[in-house]
Amino acid sequence: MATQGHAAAANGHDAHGHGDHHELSFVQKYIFPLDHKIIGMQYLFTGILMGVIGALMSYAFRMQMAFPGKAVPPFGLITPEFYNSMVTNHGSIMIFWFAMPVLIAAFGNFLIPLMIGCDDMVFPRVNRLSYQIFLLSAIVLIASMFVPGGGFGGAWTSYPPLSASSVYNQTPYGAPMWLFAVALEFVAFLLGGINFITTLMNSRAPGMKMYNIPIVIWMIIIASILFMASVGPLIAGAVMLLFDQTIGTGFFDPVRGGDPVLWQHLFWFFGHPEVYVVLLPAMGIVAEVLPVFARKKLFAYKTVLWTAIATGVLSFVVWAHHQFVAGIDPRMANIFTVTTLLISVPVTEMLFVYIGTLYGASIQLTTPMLFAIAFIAEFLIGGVTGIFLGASGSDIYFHDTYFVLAHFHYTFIPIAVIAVFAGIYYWFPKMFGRFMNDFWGKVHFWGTAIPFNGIFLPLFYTGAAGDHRRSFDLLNFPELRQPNLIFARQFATISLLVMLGFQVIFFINFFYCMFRGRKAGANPWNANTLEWVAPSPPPHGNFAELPNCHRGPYEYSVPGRESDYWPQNEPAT
Amino acid sequence: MATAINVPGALPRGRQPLIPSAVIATLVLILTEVMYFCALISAFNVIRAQLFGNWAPPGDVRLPVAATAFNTALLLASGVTVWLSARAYKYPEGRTKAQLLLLVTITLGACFVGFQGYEWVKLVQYGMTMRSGIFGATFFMIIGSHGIHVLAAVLVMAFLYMRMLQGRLSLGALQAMQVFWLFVVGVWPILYRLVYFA
Repeated sequence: MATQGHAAAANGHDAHGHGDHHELSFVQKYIFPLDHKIIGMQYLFTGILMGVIGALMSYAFRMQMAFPGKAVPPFGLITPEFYNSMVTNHGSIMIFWFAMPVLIAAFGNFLIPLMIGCDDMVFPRVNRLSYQIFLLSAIVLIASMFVPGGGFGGAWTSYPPLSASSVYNQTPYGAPMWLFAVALEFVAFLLGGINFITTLMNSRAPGMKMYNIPIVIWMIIIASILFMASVGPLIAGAVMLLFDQTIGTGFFDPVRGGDPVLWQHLFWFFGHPEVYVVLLPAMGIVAEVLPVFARKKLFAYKTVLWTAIATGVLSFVVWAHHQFVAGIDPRMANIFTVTTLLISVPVTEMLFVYIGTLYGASIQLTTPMLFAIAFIAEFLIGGVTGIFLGASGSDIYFHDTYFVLAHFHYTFIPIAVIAVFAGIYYWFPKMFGRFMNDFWGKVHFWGTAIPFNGIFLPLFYTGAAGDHRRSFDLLNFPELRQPNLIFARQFATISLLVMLGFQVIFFINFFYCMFRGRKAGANPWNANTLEWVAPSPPPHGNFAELPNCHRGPYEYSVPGRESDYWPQNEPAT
Repeated sequence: MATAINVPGALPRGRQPLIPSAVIATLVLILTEVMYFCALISAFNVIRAQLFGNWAPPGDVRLPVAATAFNTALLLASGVTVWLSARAYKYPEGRTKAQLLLLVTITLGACFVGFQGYEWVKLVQYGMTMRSGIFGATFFMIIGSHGIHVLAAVLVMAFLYMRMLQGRLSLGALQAMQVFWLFVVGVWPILYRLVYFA
């Protein structure tokens, strides 16, 4: 332990060293673990479970949209209050309890120590605390849907004055509990992010310079820094909103001198960087998968890194494009239009780099590679439709229509679903020592990618025709009763059912292959990065002998070498 | 071959990190804290600007500017003592000096919280609460946020002081505490100027 030169020893974690660790009991190993891999698994399973809950919620309100007034099988007749609560909690869960824990916390915890070649996080106990607080926050959120008055129904953006008083939102317990859950969740990710950044700075393998760090690690770290810098204003706003709800202050009440638009600024100052907090790790996962199955060096490593940093910096000056119709000064709207359109430049550059990696490569279309390529294609649609919303003129028409909804689902589903599946299929052999079934993986891929377009392409159309997002029953509006619009809504809902059905294949494949899958060796994909040096699955302490780093992570098909890959830990000559 | 240039010799393990892990962690936390207080300051300015000069406390309560100036001096002094304490703790012969200086810091911080609490009791007696109006709400929100930070930091410092007496306190932990305390001290004059002279 003393030879590893980082502070894990100072925290009393395994002071006797990893070499001679004794067997831990089940509770120590899986319920209260200090091991970063097990904590990553806990985040992964909790996040996926919350994702399933969020997906079932989308089933409830999509059925209401397509067949209004009909009973929905397990839920019965959907009331407006229940509908609002489902929409709100679907949004909150998918972003805070599914995308963030899976993309940042699960992959971050599992990958950072393995890919930078150390034995654990710098602060393992803080890491454990982070998961426990996260679990508590998830329990509080789920519980908030079963209290008198029902779950909070003011949308995940929680705009006052609707959210600020139970007189308006009719959820005297649901609204404060929702805020409290969100606040707890932020504390969990603060602790996690502090750990990630410190570990990357102080525990890298000897020889791993800044440009030798794999892109996915960089992305998770940049995302953590973005999160740290943007979450402060939202915490301040959340505390003020909680005081408005519980002790009756008037921060966001215009009658008593407050300002409701202030909340929108505080929320979106966090909310927009948050988009990039989840985007960047997804971009990173794709950057790991592409070179391995293209058998080619990642095109322009430094460009990816610096454009990611540029994206992060720019993401702090775009937030007011969410308030073009909230009554902000039109001159300010012009400025934010320019910055919003500007941020598409670095993101596009990253996509170009990925396409450049595929150019002239010998591509192996395995399941993770299919998901990675689908990410590029689908995210492009999400990005291009964002241009219309970033321009303040067209946004006045599109604001709060299904066009907006389809746009951000075209960004979030590639991020939180498609890239996550790419990551799971790719690192599954490292996590559990076995392969997932490739045939059923491909069935799952097509069953996810095609219905996904089937859900959201029609919604662009209905949104442009005037379907409003925050409406319980669109048939109340005579203009929206046209048969083609009704058909488009029903088509989207049926596509959702198909997509949800195909996820069953994924879960069967996942749990069956966890125990019965084909065995994988330490480096089944012939990849370069350091996590493939460790045995699969890595034992407590990760590496038999901690590796040194000798080169960058993407040296594939180097001319003059016999094998087409060159692991980072292999000395030259 | 271009890739071979990028090959360092294997470095020896066990090298000392440039900055102790605890200090890096605290700096990252402070990044969040800075943004938190920035948000409160902007919220204060936005709300105040919209009232077009009608920014009077309810019932003509006046904030205790002079007494708080004394309190500010106490807090600034504690910033100096914590710095001296962490500096002395680097050397074995400075241990007792570091203990004394840390105790002084804790005392000064506790006095700051105590005086502020006394002021709050007076203000509430005059009828200024978070519900009495936006003036009271913003005052207690901003000053209270800072006060909670001071209180928490004093409690952690008391804990570190106990560890120091037992001889189990690492230098990194004390330096991290020092960084956090300097942040809490440094942000106070800004808030004092903002709230008390508004």
